[in-house]
Parts: sequence; C-alpha cells; structure tokens
Amino acid sequence: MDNLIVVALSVLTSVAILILISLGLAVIFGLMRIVNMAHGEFVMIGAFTVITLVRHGGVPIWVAIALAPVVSALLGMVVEVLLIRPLYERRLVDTLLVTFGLSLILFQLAVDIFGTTSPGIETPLGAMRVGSYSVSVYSAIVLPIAALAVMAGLYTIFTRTKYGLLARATAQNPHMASALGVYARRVNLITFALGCALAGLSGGLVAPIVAVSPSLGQSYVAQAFMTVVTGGPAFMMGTVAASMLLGSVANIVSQVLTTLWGITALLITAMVLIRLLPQGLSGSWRRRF
Amino acid sequence: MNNDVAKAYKVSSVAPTLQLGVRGAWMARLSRRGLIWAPLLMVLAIAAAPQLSAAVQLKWVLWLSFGIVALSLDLVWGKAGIFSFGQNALFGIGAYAYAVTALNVFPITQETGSALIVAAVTAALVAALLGYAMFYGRVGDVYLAIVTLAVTLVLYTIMSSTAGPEYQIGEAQLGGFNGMPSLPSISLGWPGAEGNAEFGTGALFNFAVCLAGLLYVGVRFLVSGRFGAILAGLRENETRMELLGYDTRLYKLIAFVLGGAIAGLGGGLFAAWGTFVNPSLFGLSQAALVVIWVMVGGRGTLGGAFLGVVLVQWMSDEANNILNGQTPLILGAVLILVVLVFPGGLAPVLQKLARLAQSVLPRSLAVSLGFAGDPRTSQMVLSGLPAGASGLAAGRAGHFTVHEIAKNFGGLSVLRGVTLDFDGPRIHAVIGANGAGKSTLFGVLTGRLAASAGHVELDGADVTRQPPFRRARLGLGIKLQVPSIFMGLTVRENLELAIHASRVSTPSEHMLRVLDATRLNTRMDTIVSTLSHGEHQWLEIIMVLAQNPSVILLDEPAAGMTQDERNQTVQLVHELAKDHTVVVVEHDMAFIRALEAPVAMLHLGKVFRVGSFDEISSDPEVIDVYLGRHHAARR
Amino acid sequence: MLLVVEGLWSGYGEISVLQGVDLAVGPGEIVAVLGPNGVGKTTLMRTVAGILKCQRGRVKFEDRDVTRTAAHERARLGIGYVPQGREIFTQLTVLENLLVGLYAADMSRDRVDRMLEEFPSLKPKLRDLGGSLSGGQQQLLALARALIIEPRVLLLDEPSEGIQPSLLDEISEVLRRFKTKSSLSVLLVEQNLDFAGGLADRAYLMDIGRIKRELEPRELLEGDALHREFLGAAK
Repeated sequence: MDNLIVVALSVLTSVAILILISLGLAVIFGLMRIVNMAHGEFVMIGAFTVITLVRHGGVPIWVAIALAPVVSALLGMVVEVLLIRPLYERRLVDTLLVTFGLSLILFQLAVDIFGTTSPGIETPLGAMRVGSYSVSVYSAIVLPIAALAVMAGLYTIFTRTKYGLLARATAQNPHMASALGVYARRVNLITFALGCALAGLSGGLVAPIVAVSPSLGQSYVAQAFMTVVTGGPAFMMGTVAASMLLGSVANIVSQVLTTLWGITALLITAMVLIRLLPQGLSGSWRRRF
Repeated sequence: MNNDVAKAYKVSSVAPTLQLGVRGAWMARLSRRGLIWAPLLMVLAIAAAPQLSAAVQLKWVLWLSFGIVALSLDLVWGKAGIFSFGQNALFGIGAYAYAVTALNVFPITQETGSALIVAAVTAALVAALLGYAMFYGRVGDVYLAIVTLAVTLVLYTIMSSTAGPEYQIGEAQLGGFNGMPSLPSISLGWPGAEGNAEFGTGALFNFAVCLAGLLYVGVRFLVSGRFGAILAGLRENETRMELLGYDTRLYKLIAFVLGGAIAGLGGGLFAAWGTFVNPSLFGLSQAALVVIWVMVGGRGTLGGAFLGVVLVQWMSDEANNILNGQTPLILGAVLILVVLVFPGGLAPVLQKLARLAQSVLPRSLAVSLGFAGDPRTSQMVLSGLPAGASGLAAGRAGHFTVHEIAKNFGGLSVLRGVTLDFDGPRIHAVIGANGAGKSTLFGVLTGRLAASAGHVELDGADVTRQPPFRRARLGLGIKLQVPSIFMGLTVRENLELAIHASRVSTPSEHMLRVLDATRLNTRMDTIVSTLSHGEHQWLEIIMVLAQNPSVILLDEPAAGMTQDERNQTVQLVHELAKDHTVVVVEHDMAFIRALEAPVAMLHLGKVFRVGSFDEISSDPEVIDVYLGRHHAARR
Repeated sequence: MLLVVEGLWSGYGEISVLQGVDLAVGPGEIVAVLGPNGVGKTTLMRTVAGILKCQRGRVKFEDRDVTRTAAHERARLGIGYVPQGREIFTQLTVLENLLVGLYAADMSRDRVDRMLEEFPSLKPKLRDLGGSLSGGQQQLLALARALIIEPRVLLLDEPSEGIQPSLLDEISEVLRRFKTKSSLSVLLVEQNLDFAGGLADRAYLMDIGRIKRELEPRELLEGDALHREFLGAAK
C-alpha cells in the first residue's frame, strides 16, 4: 500500500514537472503559432538564475524562484522584438530555425559563464515519511501545488484580464481583432514574454531537484514539444491532459527501467498518439482553451 | 485523328534553332544530368591528392562525409520539400551501424564494405519506418520538423545510456556516452580475401571522393528525370499533385528513404574516418549544422550541399582558432543571420554567375556546360505528345451523380439532401447565393470532404468514400477556385507533370486545342508565376485535360478574370463540352448565362430549382432568394 | 465628406480585384454599394478597413490620409467594421466579444449595458459562447461589437446574408437610430436590393473592379430593370 502511494506521488511529481515546462511553450504556440526552439534555454536560464541567486547572492530560495520568471521574461521581450517580429510574415520554418539558432547561442553563453556542470542547491523542506518510505516534500507536494497554481494563474490571466481577452481574440482571428482596435504587436510581445516567464519559472522550480547544467534545456525541450503537440488546439487544457498521460507513462517506465528509457517512452508514446490523432488529444473538444 | 489538332501544336517552331549537331545534343543531355562537372572534379581531386598533406586529405574526407549528409537533406528538403530535422539522426545511425558491423565482421573478413552496406540499409529502414508513420499519417509540416527532431533526441538519450557491459551487439560494446573507439577504417575487397587491408590516408581520400562524387551524380541523375519532376511538383503544390492522381505519400516516402540511405553512407564514411563514434552525433548542434550547411550553400541546388559544408566548416575551424570552443555560438549566429538576411543562401549568387556565363559564352558552349536550358531536351520530354496518331485521345463524357447528399459540420447541417445528375457531353451549371452550400457541395464532389450521408457515383462506380486522388484516377478532372498549379515551374514543366501523371489514359486532344487557343503554346518556358491570373486558370484546365477526364469540375473558373478573359473562358468551356461532361460552379451570372446550360440552383443546402438560365432568372422565387424577400410581394 | 476613396486598386498578390474605385460617404449618411458576387465588394471593404493593403490609390478619413495606416489605428480613429460572415469570436462569450473592442480602446465597461439596451435580445445570452448563437444573433452581436466603440463610420458587409426578415428590420432600426442620434455614417455593401433600398440615402452600383454609376434610391425600390441589370441579363 505504501509502495503504491509512493509510486503515485512520483507520478504526480513527473506530471507536475511536465505541466510546468510545457505550459510556456503551449502559450506561445497556441496563441502565436510560433515554435520557440529556445524554450529549453529559457528554462535553463530560470534554473541558473535561482542557483546563482541562492549560492552567490544569498537570496532566500523562494525569492529566487519568484525572480526567475522575471529574468526570462525580460530576455523574452528582447528576443521577440529582435528576432520574432521580423519574421511575422514568413513561414513557420523560419521562426523555428531562428529560435534554434538562438538556443545554440544561449547554450554556449551559459557554458562560457557557468561552465559545463554546476553545483546544485539544497532541496528545501526535507522529507516526510510515507509508511516505511521517505519522500521529498518538495517534489511530492510543492511541485504539484505549483503546477496547479500556474494553471489557476493562467486561467485567471486569460479569462479575467484585458490582456488575456485580447490575446485570445488575436489568436482566434487576428484580422478581426485588428479591425476592432487591438494592437497585435503589443499583445504578441506580452504573450511571448509570458511564455518565457513560464519557462523561467519552471526552470527555477526544478532547480533544487535536478542537476542544473547548460544542457538542461535540451533534455526538456523535446518532451515539452511532444506534450504540446499531443495536446492539440486547446492550448491549456489539452497540454495538461497530454502531460498527465505522457508524464505517467514516462514515470512508470523510468521506475521499471531507467530515466532515459522513461523519456524515450514518452517520446514514442507521443509519436504514436499523433499518428492516431493528428489533431491532438483536444482536437474534437468544443472549448479550445 | 484531327490534322488541325496536330497543326495547332507547334512547339518545334517556337524553340530557337541550335547548331549543336548530334554530338552537341548528347553532351548537353549529359550536362543536364550532372555528368560533366562532377566526374571532372573527381578526376581532378584524385590527381591532386598526392600533392596534399595527410592532414589536409583527412580534413577533406571529413568534409565529404558531411557533404553526403547535407546532400541527403537537400534531396529531402530542397527537392522534395520535406523539412526533416532528423537527417543527422540517420547519419548517426549509419555511423553506429558501420561501427557495430565492422567491429564484428572485420576480424573475420578483413573488409568493411559490408559494414558500409549495412550502414546504408539500416538508415534506410529507420527512414522507412519513420517516414511511413509521418507521411501516411498526414502529419503537418511543423509537426514533422518537431517529430524528426524528437527522434534525434530520443536516439541521443538512448545511445548515451548504453554504458554498461550488457549493452553490446556481438563483439561491439555500445559504450554509452563514451561511444565506440578503435573502429576499422575502410577496407574494400572480397570477404576473406588475401591482401584485404585498411585504407591508408591517400586511399581513404580517393575513396571518399569517389563515394561523394558517385552519390552526387546519382542524385542529380535521378532528380533531373521524371522522379525529379514529381518531387518538384510535390514541393510546389502537393494538393495539385493529388488531384492529378499521384499518390503523394508514396513519393515522399521514397524520397525520404533514399535520403536515409545516403545519410547512412555518409555516417559510415564518418565512422571510418574518425575510427570512433559517440552519441554527440545525435546532438542538437549536429542537427542544426546539417540545416545550416544546406541553407548556406543554397537549398535545392544539390551542389550547394558540398559548398555549404566547405564554407561553414572552414569558417567554424577559423573561428575556433580565434575563439576556442565557441562553436555553438557561431553556428547559432550564422543560422540566425542566414534566415533573417540571406534565406536563399549562396544560390542567388550562383544563379547570377550562371546568367553572366550565359551572356558571355557562345550559346552552344553555354548549353553544353549546363549554364543554359536545352530546348531540344525539353522537346524529348514533350515527345509524350507526338503530333497526330496515337498520342492523344478523343474526349470522353462521363456520368456523375450525387444522391441525397447531406453534410454536417458539428451541429450545423450545410447540405440537406442534394441530388444532382450530370451527364454528357454537355455543360451543367450550379449556382447559389453565399451560404447556400456551394463550396461544401464542391468539396463533397471532389472528395475533399466526406459526405455525412448519401452517395457519389462516377461512371457507375461508387466513389463516396474515395479521396480526391483516387477520383482523379477514375476520370474526375478537378479545377479548384484558386489556381492550384506549380507557380515556381515553367508551363512546360507543369504540363509534363500533368501528362506523366496519367498512366492509363492518354491526354485529351482538347489539351492541344486549348493550349493553342489560349496562346500558352508560345509561353512554354515561362515561369508560371509571371503569367496573368486568367492564364493560370487556363493552364490548370489544360493540366486537368491531361488525364482525359470523363467529368470535369470547374470551381468558379471566371473568378478574378478580366472581361476579355471571361469571354474566352466561355468559348473554352463550350469547346470542352463537345466531348466531355463539364460541371461549372459559379457566381458570375453573365458567365452562366453565356454558357447556355441547364442550371441547378442551391439554396439552404438543397436543390431549389433546376432549369435553363432564362427560366431561373425570371422565376420570382429565385429573385426573392437572390435579391430580397419582399420583392415578390411588391409585384 | 467623412470617408473618401480615390482611384483604389486592391487585390491579392498579382490579382487586382479593385481596378480604380471612387466613392465618398458624408457624415450621417448611409451609402450603399450594390453589385453581384465577385465584383469586389468585400475586397473594397477589407481595403478600407485596413486589413488588405491597397495596391494603388487613396483612402481618406476626416481629411486624413489613412492609406498607409494600420487596421487597428483606423479602428481607433473611428472606422468600424462588420465583415461578411460576421466573424464572431466563436470561442469567446457574447460579453467577451463586446469587450474586445472596449478593452483595446481603454473604454469603460459601462458601455456594455448601454449597448444591450439597443440589442435586448443579446442580454440573456451574455455568457453563451459566440459560436453557439444563430446566424441572426451573430449578426446582431457583430453589429453591437462594432458600435460599442462609437465609430464615426461603419463598414457593413452584406449584413442581410442568411438573415430572416424580422431581424433585418431590427438591424435597419438600429442603424437609423444611430444615424439620427450619433450622426453615424454607414458604408453598406449589399446584394439585397430591398434591404439596401430601405436604408440608403445614396447608392453606387459596382461592376467588376469599379463603380459603374451612382443610383437614385427610388431605383432601388422599383427594381425590375435594376435587378435584370444586376443579374447580367441586360447589358
């Protein structure tokens, strides 16, 4: 019985992490139809922000985690203006390539600044007992709560704020939105910054529990992509549904075999799902949210 | 067979006369198929080899192996239009396959030719599996890019985790992150023969030159023939290819598998060069590099693949000397620069050079060196249409019926029981106000949309569940509202694709009549994008005629045309209707009237009225529908 | 003149659908542009709204040259647009549809209540998704959504398409009210001669790519000869 609870908690953690790292990508892809190949690097930047602030700045960890999205968002805004905006009229492949180039640059800069490995930070809040097992409070409780908080926060932003409404309208029908006075460029800038902020936040949140290195982004980006693509047109709930499915698969396989096999299983499951449901899990849902 | 038809087609009088003679023409053909420059370069390279230091030779072997995988991407992306991020994965698979095979086999047979073959085959098989899943699943472009990238990363993670001793195939330890060292270099010979030995640097260099050269020549040859024309069509306009009756999924798969085999060979060469493989081959940097090489060199030029490799690698090496170990940074910057500023790569520069050469050299020399197109060669292409006799068929009229067609989208029913009977040879017109369901009906007729209920029959065969390309093969010619032709190709190339698509049937003789009547026979070598909108519409009709369809569907053929063009189109449709069954869906009332055909009017998803144009246009209920409810009351 | 179009050429890529259109709309005027399908009426509207870039010619609004002005700027200046087919945000609620323009212009939410007095049938549907409304209700919503930001001129593209007569009356009523009390001008594109005739102060007849001639309102209401001209039966 305890064994099952521990396994369930482990699955919960995996799903939470997947939700966190995928939502930023989903927001940008879902609202702007842009593939941000540098998404993983924004996650990595968030993680390094936390590590640097905690180790070298003496900043309390929770404050550091709160600052991670700010750093990523600021960088995201610069990127949007310099690299994404000139490509609005071009094919999707072009933004894909440009953000790919950006990811290489950010990766190398991180290596130059931080080196190829980095000492980690302590996982806060210690452990709790579940029967005869010991489980990290941070992983089992904080991360899932964070995922829920992010989902709630996004929901609020998109349904209760001016920006949220304008962003959804622009995503559905950019021409009509313009004809009603919506300034698409400003909306897109905020959307991109939001997506990057989410990436940074997720990086900051996983910093205490993973080995943070410049290649952190690369290991997450494929998973995040496959989750978003599998999720389908409902950019938030579809991604969440896909995260639940794929995260569980990945976690269970990784417990039976190794972590790397878990990731492989996730990617293969996603590819199979896309083959079966080319529109994604939420393809036939009525509400595209 | 009509003589005037034959006379109407006067290609040979259009082509400029050349004083090439028989031998010149033969040379020109070879050049077009890449058989002059490449072998020349190969010979020069091998001759120059002894003058080069071993280090330089080895560098070139590396660059040639890169060039081979870049070539594979240029085939798959530049020629077939499939943006795959996974060519480096296939390269890596080839490298690992070579490694595993060579480690197992070399000690016994003292040769690694078999390992190279295994490399190519393994990569091709993986490409086949992946390609099948993607193309037959009709995955979109962006998703395809992401999926292929994901495959690369999957392989990276798998191969990185094979560190333990339990991960071995035969004698070969996979080695996880550290990879597999001490691989045998290339050694060619009969298995087990005496004297089989690994190549030294010089022999390896010659081998690499030959391999790269042969692969380049092979791809060039393939691509300049009919297969290449089909790939060009796929790249330019996949929908039109389907409507011409090509199974686009199959051709994409073939191109992808070929690309895989080539990439695999490149990987094998790479493994032999370095005598070492590791998982970094599957990394993101490697994936980016292949794309950068192709883009810098000029996508679609094939030769540009090698050019791009040399340029980028040279730059990267120089930069490495200055800024040590900053390769990803430089690559990233180059990629961004190329996409933002030079999306065409070096190709435009090369094209300018070619045009310069064309203007400076005497024409015959220019043609034989491949700098100018060869009209005589194109004439061979059109020999599919010899004037007179067996080349053309009389038009045939088919019977197309739809019975009680219903179509719902979610909760909305757009078509509510449409029954229509189109026989021939004659014209049938379908009209209806906006929202009446015309476009939806057209979608059901072509097969783009599946009917929610009812039947569609073509010449007695039930085609209700058949997709457009099957219906095209069964004799349904489809001309879409927005001209769906190959804008980047010439008129000639468009026609060639259309003609070669028809396997069973021969082109309708009307094809030549329309070519002549529209004066398009004098514009055979014009790039289609420069023609007028009306000419686009006509070209599409001509291409549809290549399959000698029994039923021709025209969706708003007069849309966007000038008045003169409309008049000419009316004539055109009358001509076609002499032998074919023609169904015209249109808005333009003057056009419909001039067609002098039975008209079926759609309203609210059903057939509202059928009759002649005069009957319908003076019917008060029709007027109600079109102009406003109250009109009848006022009368 | 409030809105002036001079020598307008517009289209898609190489195609020039409009080939020299000239027209003008005065303050507080309802002007109709009539013509059958395919002559370029919708292209005209999209170009004036700023969604489609013109190839040649000029658009002037309140004596300002807005030819190069972006669509969202034109909306802020006072050019409202109700496109053919309504183009409701189907995934947003009725209320949210109304709020888009308001939020973009930083206007107060109170205007929603005032607009609902003009369109009482929308009140019970505020929380429903735009996509669940009938065609007629969507038309009313599209109209409300454009009027809520108080445009000076409203571009109205085939509002009568697929709408039942009673709703058409309601739409006419609303437009007349706004014309009287707010001096709203309307550029109305229509195929429905009756609807246009009942509303318009002036009308233009459009042929392929250009304005053929200006019409008297009584011509619209009499109709026989006009409708034949319309259907292309007489040239």
